Amino acid sequence: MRIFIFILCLLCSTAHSQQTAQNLFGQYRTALYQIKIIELESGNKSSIGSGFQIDKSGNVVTNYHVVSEYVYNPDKYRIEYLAHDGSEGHLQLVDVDVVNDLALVRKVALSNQENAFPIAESLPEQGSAIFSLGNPHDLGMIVVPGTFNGLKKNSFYQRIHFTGSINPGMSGGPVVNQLGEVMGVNVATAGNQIGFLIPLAKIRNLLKSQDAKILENKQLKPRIQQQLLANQSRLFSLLNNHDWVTSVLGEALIPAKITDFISCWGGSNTSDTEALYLSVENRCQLDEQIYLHNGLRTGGLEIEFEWLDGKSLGEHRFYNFYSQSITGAGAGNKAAKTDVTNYRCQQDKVTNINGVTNKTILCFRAYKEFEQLYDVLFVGATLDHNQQGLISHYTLAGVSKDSALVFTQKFMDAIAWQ
Amino acid sequence: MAIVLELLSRKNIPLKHYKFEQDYVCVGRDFNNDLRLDDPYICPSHMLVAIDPESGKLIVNDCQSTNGIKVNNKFVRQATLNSHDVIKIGRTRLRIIDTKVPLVEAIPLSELEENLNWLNQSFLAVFLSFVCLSFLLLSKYLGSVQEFNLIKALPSELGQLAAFCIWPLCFAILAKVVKKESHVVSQFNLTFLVILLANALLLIQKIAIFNIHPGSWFTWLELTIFALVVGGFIWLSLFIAFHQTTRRRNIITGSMTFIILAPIYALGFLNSDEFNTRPSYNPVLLPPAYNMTSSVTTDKFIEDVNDLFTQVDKLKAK
Repeated sequence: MRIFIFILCLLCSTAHSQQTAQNLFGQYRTALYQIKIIELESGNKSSIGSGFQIDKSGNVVTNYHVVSEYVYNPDKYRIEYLAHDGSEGHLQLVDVDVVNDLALVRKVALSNQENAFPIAESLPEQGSAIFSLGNPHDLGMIVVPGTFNGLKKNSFYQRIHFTGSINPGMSGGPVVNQLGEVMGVNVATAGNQIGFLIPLAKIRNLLKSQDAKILENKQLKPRIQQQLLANQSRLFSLLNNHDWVTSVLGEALIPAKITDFISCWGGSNTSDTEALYLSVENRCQLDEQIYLHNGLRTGGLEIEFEWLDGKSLGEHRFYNFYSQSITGAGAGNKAAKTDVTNYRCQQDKVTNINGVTNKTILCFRAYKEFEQLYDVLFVGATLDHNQQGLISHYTLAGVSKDSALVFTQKFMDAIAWQ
Repeated sequence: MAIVLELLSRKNIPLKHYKFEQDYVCVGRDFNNDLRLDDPYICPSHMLVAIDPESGKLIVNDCQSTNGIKVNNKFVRQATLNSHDVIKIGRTRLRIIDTKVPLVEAIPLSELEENLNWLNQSFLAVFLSFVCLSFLLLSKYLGSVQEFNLIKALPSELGQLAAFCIWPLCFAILAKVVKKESHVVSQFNLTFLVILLANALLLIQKIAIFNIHPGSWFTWLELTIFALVVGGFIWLSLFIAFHQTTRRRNIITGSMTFIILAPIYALGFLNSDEFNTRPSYNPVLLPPAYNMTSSVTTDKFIEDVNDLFTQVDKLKAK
């Protein structure tokens, strides 16, 4: 009898899960949209994503990267939606949150039967079943059941870890709990059932603009600039205002893992028995970058160290190789001619407070459309040994002058010999 | 007064000269003539060159020849001749020389030429080619991070040396064509010396950049020195190869230097600020032994960096 009850329970729970998915889809499909970016010249869609309505006044939430083409070229594109019943209409841009990849758009024409997703009060418990909705590859609206696995550990740009497949086109679609309340937005996938969602708090933040006016074209860039500036100052106040833990690399002490939210990887050539030198590497970077448009990412940070030991090379050969190793450093973020200027560099020999002498190269480039924001590239190579050297390198994307200078000074003075 | 005739090649280069201590000269194919020319297009008795007893000038008379006489490319039966007129009979060209007209002064022997005599030594050429080859091998060795294999490196470096030898060979061949001496050894020695000089300059450049991190003025200095080396090399190559006036040599040197350098400079300036996601900086690192200047403190460096922001902000406008 007990076994019977147990089996019954099992049946119930699977049935319940199916029930939820079906119900959810039936209940809210009228509030789900495919978002299309229409190129005016050809009159056809140039990119698609998903979106969901959050109130009766026609506000729809989607990803910023879905509407980024429009943001950058408002004269050449327009935003449209396609509803479940095949009806189409225009959308206007109300607000964007580039840092969290969110955008708020509003339906121009409202019908008398507007439906909206409720917003959850809090995130569910880890392991709860959640449902991602969206329109992958323009195949039609679907429901993907999956599991909520908490907020991604040690990340600066917060994301929910969702176990379930998110595919291109589902971006901007809602993720709901069993009650059908929105608790995340589809944003990215890392392959094989690992998906990332924008968490609830960020959506709530965006909803403050629910009643705001439509953003005019000329307000778009200043709005983005303001968000980028605020974001970089939050990031660098976290980085610059505490002591950095140093670790050992070769004979040097380096500030590699300077905070919890950057992830580090290492490697060396010790397995190469024929190599005449030893190279030990340490790389750290922020996991996420901010997407601005197809050719421009910002908000990233990478730090790399390489310890080189020439062992049997001899000093001239070693220094030749050492020079080659610092040749051709490039930007850490994707950017095109229209977005940023060329780099300008300052080079000098610098002795830091710990007595370490570096050939130091510091380069900046400016963002053409965003005042006060710069990309930074730093290369340093120690000059204290005949056959050994430490290469230190970092790139910062989208930072203000002050953040860059404070970080640079702190970084340069953090390197020491053991 | 004597009559002087010069036998010319097709390109008016003198082949032979004849001097006659008499007032008239018969020219033809016949063995009785004063000047016998073995040219099937010339009549046995073709023309007569004589001194006019009244005016003392030279005249030429056609002796009813089949093919006639051309003076300065015009058919004539009889004509008064001036010094340096070219007479064409049959297929032969003769030039009249007036012995009264004074010749140009001799070109003074150049001291430089005497001073360059030491270049013309074979043992020096052998020695310098060994020095160059060793230098090439050494730089290859210093540039390698794998186990260095001399035998494997040798062919490519020998090839490079051979490529360098094209220049002196070209000049030697040209010199041989135009005059008799090729001065091939001097040309080789000059080329090897210039290669070594250029490499020494490159080393000095590296050390200078590493120590003083110079600004854009240094690029101009580099370009000027490069132009001087190239120009000087061409000038000396010409000097060794040909006998020319200094003016002519300077003009050729100037134009050759320009032809070689113009594309290099133009490319450099045209590409100078093309958009690039990689910054351009100088990556030269040298061992502590070459480190001659003092370094700055972090504070000073950060202070200097401020100027970069103004620079990149200016670039935005472009």
